[in-house]
This record gives sequence, C-alpha cells and structure tokens, in this order.
Amino acid sequence: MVEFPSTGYAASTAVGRTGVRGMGAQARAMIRRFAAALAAVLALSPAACSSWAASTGTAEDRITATAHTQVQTALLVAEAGLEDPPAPAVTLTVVLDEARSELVTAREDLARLPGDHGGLMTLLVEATTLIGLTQSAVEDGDRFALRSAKRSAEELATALEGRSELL
Amino acid sequence: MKKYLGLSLGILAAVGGFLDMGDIVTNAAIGARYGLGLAWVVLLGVIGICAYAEMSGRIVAVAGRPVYDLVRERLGPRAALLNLIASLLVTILTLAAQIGGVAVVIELASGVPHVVWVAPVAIGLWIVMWRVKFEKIEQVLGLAGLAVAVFAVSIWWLDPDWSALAGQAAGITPPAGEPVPTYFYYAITLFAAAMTPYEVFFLSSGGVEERWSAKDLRMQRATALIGFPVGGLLALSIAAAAAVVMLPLGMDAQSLGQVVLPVGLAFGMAGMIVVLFGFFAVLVGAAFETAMSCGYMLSQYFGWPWGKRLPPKRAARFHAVVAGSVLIALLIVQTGVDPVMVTEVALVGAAVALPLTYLPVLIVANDRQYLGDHVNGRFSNAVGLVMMVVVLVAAIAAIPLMITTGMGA
Repeated sequence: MVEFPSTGYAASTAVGRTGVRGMGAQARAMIRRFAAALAAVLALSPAACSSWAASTGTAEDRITATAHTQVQTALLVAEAGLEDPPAPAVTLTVVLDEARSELVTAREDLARLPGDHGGLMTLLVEATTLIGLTQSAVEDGDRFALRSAKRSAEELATALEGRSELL
Repeated sequence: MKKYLGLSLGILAAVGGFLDMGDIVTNAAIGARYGLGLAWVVLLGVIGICAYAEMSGRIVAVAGRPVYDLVRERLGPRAALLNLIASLLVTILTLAAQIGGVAVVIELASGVPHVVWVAPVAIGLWIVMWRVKFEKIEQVLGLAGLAVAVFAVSIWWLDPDWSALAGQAAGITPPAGEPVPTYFYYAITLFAAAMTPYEVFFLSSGGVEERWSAKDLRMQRATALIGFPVGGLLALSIAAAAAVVMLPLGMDAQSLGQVVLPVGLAFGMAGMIVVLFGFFAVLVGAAFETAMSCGYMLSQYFGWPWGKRLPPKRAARFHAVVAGSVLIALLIVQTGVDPVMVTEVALVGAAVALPLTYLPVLIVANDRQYLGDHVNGRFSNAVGLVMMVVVLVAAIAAIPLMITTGMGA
C-alpha cells in the first residue's frame, strides 16, 4: 500500500481537526448569508438577462440573427458533405438537428411577438425546409442535392441579412 | 533519458490538459464573432495561469502540502470557508459542463441524443477514477487531447488570409459596430476559461499525489511554463478556425457541432474523427480534474484523509465527495439543460471566484514560514500583482456585464 509523505497528509489532517472545532455559530451564519446572497443573484440573473439586454438590437433582430446562423450552418454542412471523402453523415445530421431545433424555437418566439412579422416568418419556414432538404441530401450522399442546398442557403442568408442591422 | 521523457510527457499532458469545455466554447464563439480580436485576452490568461501554477507548484514542492491546505491554515477557517463554498459551486458546475460536453461529443459520433449518454459517461468516469492510476489518466488523456491540434492544421489547409488574421490579433479594441459591454463580457469569460480555479487545486493536490519535492522544482516549472502556453495556442487555433470559416459568414458558434465544422471542411471524414477523439479526451480529462478537485477542496478544508492513492477504506469521505460531485453533475446535465449554457454560467461564476482562489496563493507564496528561501522573487510578485488586479476587475465586472449584455447575446 502506498503511504503519503507525512508532511502532506498528516499535517492536513491536524489542521482540519483544529479548524472544525473552530467553526462556530459565526461560520454557520456566514454560510447562510453567503447562500442567501448567491440565491438572490441566481434568481435575479436569468430574468435580468432577458429584459435588460439592450446592447444587441430588438427581439426581431435577434431572431433574424439566430435564423441566419442556422442557415449558414446548413451551408457549411452542405460543403462538408461535398468533401471527398465527406464528413461523417451522422455528425452532420446531429448538427442539422440542432439547427432545426433552434429554428423551431425562433418561430415560437416570433409568433409570441406583437405586430406583423409575416415576412420574417416566411423566411424562418423556408430555413426549416432548407434544413430538412440538406439533411436528406447528407443522409443519401446526394452531391447534386447538396450543391442545390448550398445555393439555397446562400440566397436565404442574403435575404435574412437584408432584414437586420445586426447582420 | 528517463527524466527527459518524464518532462516531455508532463509538458504534453499539460498542453492537452489546458483545454476544457470552457476554452472550446468561448474560443469558438469569440472566433466567430471577433476573429482573433480577443487573442490578447488568451495571452493575458496564459500569463496569469503560468504565474499562479508556478507558485502553486513551488508551494507543493517545497512545503509538501497542497495550496488549499495552507490557505486554510494561513487565513483561518472563516476566510477559507468562503473560498471553499465559491470554488466548490463553480467546480461542480464546471464538472457538469464537461460531462455534458462528453455526452454531446458521443452524440456527434453516434447520432444518439446526448441525454442518453450522460449517465453512462458519469458512471464510466467514476469507474476510471476508481480503477486507473493517477499518472496514467493524466498522461493518456493529456496526450490524446493533443489531437485537438487538428484545428491548427485545418487553418493552414484552408489557406486563409494570414494578414487579415494577424490584423485581427493585433487589435485590442472592439471591432466597429460591436457593443463595448458585449466585447468585455466575452473577454472576461475567455479570461476565466484560461484561469479556471480548479486548475490550481488540481495541480497542487496532484503534486502531492505525485510526491513532488524541491528536486522537482525545475520540472514542475517547465511543465507549467511550456505546457500552458502551448495549450493556449491550441485554444487560439480553435478561435482562428472559427475566424476563418464562420466570421466571413456572419454566423455565431453556439454548439459543439458548429465548432467542429471547420475541421470537417478541411479534412472531411478523417478530420471529424480526429477532432471528436481530441474533444472526447480533453473533456474526459477535464471531468477527471474537476471531480477530483471537488474531493481535494472539501477534504483538505475539513482535514479528512484524501488522495486517489489512498484506498477508499482509508479515505472514505474523499472518495464519497468525488463520487457525490459526479452524481450532482450528472443530475444537473440530465435535466436536459444545454451543456453550453452550463459552461457559460460556470465561467461567469469562475470569474467571480477568481480572487478567492488566487489571492491566497499569492499570500502563501510570499510566506517564508512555509517556503523559506523559495518565496516569490520580485518578478513573480510583479506578475502576480498585475494579474491580481486583472482578476479583481474581472470578478467585479462579470455579473453586471452578464446582466446588461444578456450573456453576450
């Protein structure tokens, strides 16, 4: 059995015993205060994050930026699928699944926004369709469909860029 | 010869061990958004971690005791308790991020959703920690983590505009049109990723596990001063790959799947296999380090017998804390929360906890009672103090910036 050097383990143990005895009501009160402060920060932060984020445009801008990222992801996936040999279909499919999930959330968020956002919603629907087409092309190893998906992604990205100052 | 082999292995392990989920996520996100415009922060973080890792290693080698043990003795139980609570919370969150990251890597390789892999990953991690020797885990995972260097090769293969990359790296101000608070929010998370508190706890406790003595001072110094900077370069290569591929498209890097795409573009199937293998090794290594760090912190504070070398019968509470930390992390990730989100929260927490971790190290490294003639020299103190100022600024600004920028949205 391997033993620790006495300067390490033994000293650690001795210090610990003294310290545990030294912990009294004050230490426990300090733990409670710290925990309460931490809980307050954790409780306030998420709410604050969603409401005070004034530095990155409107809610519609952020949804547009999210959609743009997912469309460009589809473009990169299509390019990776056109490599010889192509990147693994299983990995690219997972990446597209995540992109689709982000788009679904973006559509739900947009639907909750007051006002008319029909133009953007149409682009989001087109983006979701593009993700599906790219996924089928990746799974089938269909290079023609991948090239077509890449072109569609470029057009859709350009359309989204025209809608937001963030892009 | 054997000595040099050991040194090389140690340095290579430190290179691979520098990276974790926080480094991967923040470097990719920043590369896609700012290119190499925040490379100066990585440089600052590497200088900081080198300075404090060297101090911690020296403390262990000379005093034969881990940093946390001395902090508690030197500062008293109350001050050390604050350090313990903050560091433990952050480290458990960091552990959750690593476990979630490993599960996502397996999802990318298998197509099976990551939530299915969380429990097997946690159990596998616990078995490895239980059965495999400390040095073996460090060396194997550290060396395997070097596969992440495929990002650097990919950049070269993609033939970027090198002058544009150099121009980005030379800038130390926010790019035109980018909100200043968001720029500094990302700067702080990147800095916290480089200086995550668990690295010091693990390094110093691991030094005791590996029985460093004053004879090992040169080796531990070389390991820290060469290994961490090269690890920093690996982290920068992830940012550069995102800068080359994603920045021109105006897209964000929000998931590990997006992070690996530049490598897929450069090397197709082979590149993806290598990068997923590298990420797996790096994240399992970081999960091992964070889980062990939880055990080290708590055991050293309360004076329990501790160490991976000690059998569970002799260090039951240490082993129970390590297993319990893995279990808590598993439960956090199993809720379905996005591991990238957990990483971002852990990094903000780490930024806040940084002074509590590093200030005591600076104090103990100047204490002749523990270190004799091996206390900090003027240069170490100058670097340590400058970094302490940066750490304090980061800690104060982290939460306000997180709130005002909506986590860098």
